Amino acid sequence: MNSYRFPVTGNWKPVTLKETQLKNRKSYPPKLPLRFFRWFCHPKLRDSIEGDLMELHEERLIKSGKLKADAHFIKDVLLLFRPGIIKPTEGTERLNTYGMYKSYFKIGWRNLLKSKVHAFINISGLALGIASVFLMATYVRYELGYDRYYDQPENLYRITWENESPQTRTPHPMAQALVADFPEVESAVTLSPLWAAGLTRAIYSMANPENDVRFDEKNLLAVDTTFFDVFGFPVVRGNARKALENVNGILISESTAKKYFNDDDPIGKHLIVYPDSALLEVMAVFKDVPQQSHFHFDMLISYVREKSFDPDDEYYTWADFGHFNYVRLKPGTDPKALEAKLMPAMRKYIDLPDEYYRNLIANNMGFRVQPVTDIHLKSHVRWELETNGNIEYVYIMGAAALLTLLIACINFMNLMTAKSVERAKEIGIRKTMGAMRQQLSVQFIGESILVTGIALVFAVLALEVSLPFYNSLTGQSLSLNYWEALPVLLVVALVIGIGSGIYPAVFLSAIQPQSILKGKFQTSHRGNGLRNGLIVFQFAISMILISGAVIIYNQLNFIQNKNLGFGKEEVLVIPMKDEHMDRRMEAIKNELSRIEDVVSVSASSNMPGGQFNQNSISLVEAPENDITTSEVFVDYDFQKVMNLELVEGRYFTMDDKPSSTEVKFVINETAAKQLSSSSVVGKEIHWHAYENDKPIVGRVIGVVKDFHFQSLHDPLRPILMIPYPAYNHLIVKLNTGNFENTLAQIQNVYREFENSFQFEFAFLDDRLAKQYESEARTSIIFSAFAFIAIVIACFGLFGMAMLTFSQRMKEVSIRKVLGASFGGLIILLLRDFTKLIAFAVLLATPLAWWLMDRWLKNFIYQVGIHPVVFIVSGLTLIVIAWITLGYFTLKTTRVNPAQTLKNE
Amino acid sequence: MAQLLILQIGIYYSRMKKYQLGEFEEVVMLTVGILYGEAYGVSIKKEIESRLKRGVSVGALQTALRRLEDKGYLKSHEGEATEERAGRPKKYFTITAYGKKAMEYTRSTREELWNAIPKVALKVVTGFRLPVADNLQLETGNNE
Repeated sequence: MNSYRFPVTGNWKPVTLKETQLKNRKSYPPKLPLRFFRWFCHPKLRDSIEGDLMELHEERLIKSGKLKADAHFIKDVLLLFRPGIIKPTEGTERLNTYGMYKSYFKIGWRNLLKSKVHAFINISGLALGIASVFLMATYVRYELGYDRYYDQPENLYRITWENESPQTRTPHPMAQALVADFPEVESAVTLSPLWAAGLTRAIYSMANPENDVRFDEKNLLAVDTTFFDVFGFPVVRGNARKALENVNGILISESTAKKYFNDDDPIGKHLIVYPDSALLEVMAVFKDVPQQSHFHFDMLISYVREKSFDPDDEYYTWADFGHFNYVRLKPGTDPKALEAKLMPAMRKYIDLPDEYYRNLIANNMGFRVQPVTDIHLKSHVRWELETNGNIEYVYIMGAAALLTLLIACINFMNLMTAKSVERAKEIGIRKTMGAMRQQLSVQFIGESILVTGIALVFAVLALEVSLPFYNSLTGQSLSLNYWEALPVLLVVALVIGIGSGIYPAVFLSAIQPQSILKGKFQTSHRGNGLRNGLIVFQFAISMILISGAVIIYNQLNFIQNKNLGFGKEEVLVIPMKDEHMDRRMEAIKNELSRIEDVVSVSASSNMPGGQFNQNSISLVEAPENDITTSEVFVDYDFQKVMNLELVEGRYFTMDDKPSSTEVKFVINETAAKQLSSSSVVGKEIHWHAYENDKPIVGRVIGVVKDFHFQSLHDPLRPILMIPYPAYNHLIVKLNTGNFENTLAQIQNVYREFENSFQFEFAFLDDRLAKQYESEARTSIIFSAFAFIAIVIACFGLFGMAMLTFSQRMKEVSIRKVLGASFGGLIILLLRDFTKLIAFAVLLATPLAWWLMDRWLKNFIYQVGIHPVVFIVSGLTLIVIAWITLGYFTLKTTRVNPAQTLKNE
Repeated sequence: MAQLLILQIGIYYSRMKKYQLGEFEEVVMLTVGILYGEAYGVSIKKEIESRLKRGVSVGALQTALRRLEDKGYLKSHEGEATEERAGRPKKYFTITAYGKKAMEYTRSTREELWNAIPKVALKVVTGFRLPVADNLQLETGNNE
């Protein structure tokens, strides 16, 4: 019994017992429950309760024996295990170190409040950076989210044709041949817009015959009956398949249905199509095509109808590569394997000369299987259904935003380490009190997460404010779903917090307490090298962004103002939607010419900046030299209106109309050069636009100087002009005058000839500017980012100057006392930072040069990179930096030496 | 913020119940009073058990004592360590002035409630009759 020992734990004060007391005891309560009780009981209560328990045990022992007494004892102990008795986790026995975190938070918050300027710089910089990144992330997400709307989009592919000039269009029978020949092709569909002359989209005027509600419709597609099997577009009402089997059926989108029929049930209602007054029955309604799709349509009709007009048209055979073919592959199919099998399998249908076929195979060309989800960003071949986006711009924007954020993170790192003098005492004391290095790191990382968290709130506010601005500036319609974005935002804040806090944490926690507390640690020279390096890095990024913005702007300016070889100013383009107008061209021209400010009038099938149909031409004397040529049907005044320069021969006259027995052509210089090295004027050529299996023969009567009929992304290509009345555009050259009045008169004349369509017009230069929309957008956004980046970098510089200049007060004072001049002091103070920035500029220039040179390679016509751009950008950067430093420079040089030196 | 709110609610709550004393707590307080000067864990337990004929666990009693002490109704001091207690001191409890007030308050509210019960509710009803016959006679008289 003497061996019984009370376990000593925690705060327990051992009670000294007299030997006699222990000896006289008859029995002891069971050890384990007693130990348990001692462990959990509040120390203040332990002794007295234990005494009670002992007393009771003793009593029961006498009364009812050991077994019952022990049982009671155990029961009592268990019943004592309750909240009022159990010791709280206080003092040194806390379950967690929550209290320490609370302290970190408090100290972090106080430090923010203590240096408000630095807090402002950090938070605003990070907020701007995060907002930029999120804005761009939204944009990137939007661009990458194209064509995900269909059922299982990853199994959808488009068949394209790749030869020396690749194209999207392939033969109509191919879709169903693929389904028949390849088991891995689940379904396939052919579709095509309806074309007017020269591959211009036809415009129809449609009306609800019941109430004569009438609109112009451009977005009409002809599709196979399998269309909905392939794409899985949701059909809201009616039977889509049946509708597509019907010659007179039409399918319309929900919004189109609303437009014509309001809230009535559109199924079974009719639409009249002008100009030929065909009657179509609405047989199904589908959901509107979302914006993020590489093609859009408001109405669908069946190929059954199109074929019914001319079933034997070559257009529907293997000979005409004029349709869009889409396939849905069985899940798990390898598209590359299918692609490899396509050419051999399709050869039995397509009549290709042996040599040509071998050539294609040798060069790894032919049919291509292209994922539909890649089309929007990556496909840029001939005859896209709509203008696609460009992955390059997605990368550029994303990179610019990330760099902006990086600059903000660097600010944070730099200011935090530069402030180490101020924090040194705290660190010293914490370390003396037993803080581990790891704990201090956690503290500083925690502080940076705190700052990032605050910045995040402001970033969301900034985003909310800037999104409408951004949308109106770029013409996009981005929106942010906060519930979706919230987890991402939080993770980003955490990553940025840790990322930018880790260096200061390591740096600050390494400070030796004895040096601090002895007073040795007074300047922040430690880490100066890295800090300077980071400043150089920041300004190098700023330099790249600023010079990039200038070069993008220059290039945009260059292509928008480049002499295109034709007059684009004051040329009014009016769509001629009614094909009956073509034959009354003379009358229209006469009427329009009478208007005072109209200089000249003409018409054409295509306009520069649009897409052109292409066939090939060859000299009759040299048929083997076959060149692909864009073609345009023109009126004989086209040269005059467009101000084209004639190089050789003559242009068309009124008599060159196709009523004459011979066809006449005018070509451009490029075409002439490609056809023959000698003059081609007067020579006969074959135009391979087959009519009854024979090429059209015509004589070249003139050659015009090259003009840019396509965007400046493309080089100059051959073009063939044909004097044939298949027009889509009325072209009117105006004098500067009273435009409103002139337009009203033009409209009156137009209305005399055509009255069922809407009257529309556009200036040629506006139409051309639309080709460079994505460049213009990039230019604006890039400039904005350059601006933000420089602002943030200068914030950082401001903060650094505030710290370093205040540490140089004494030095400046002594210099002043010794007679330093005001100018000399300014130079002294600015010198260090200026060196850094100049170094950054020098470092960034070759990189920026290389990057911008790469970007410019996208253009056939490039503005040269002039060194002046970099000199001006660099000087601008330095001047901006000087202005930023100005305040503290002046403040420091104006210091009163008597004040700063009186303590020494 | 949330903590502040909870605190406010707590203050409001405690003001409403001026002296909060549960049934068992009241019993403990009274027993401490009875044992005047001799009230410690075991003695209180035994006193309650013998007077009220109900079992009291050490846990329940100690929790109540601690709560009452926290509320300021009881105060304690350590006493002698005896042999049967293996040298552990006794903890004696006495009622504070505030505790006395609380007990009086509880008692007076009980009494108020008792007094508020209408006498009738506690009476045993033996019989009751309406004086109807006279009215009937008057009416018949007028009609004639």
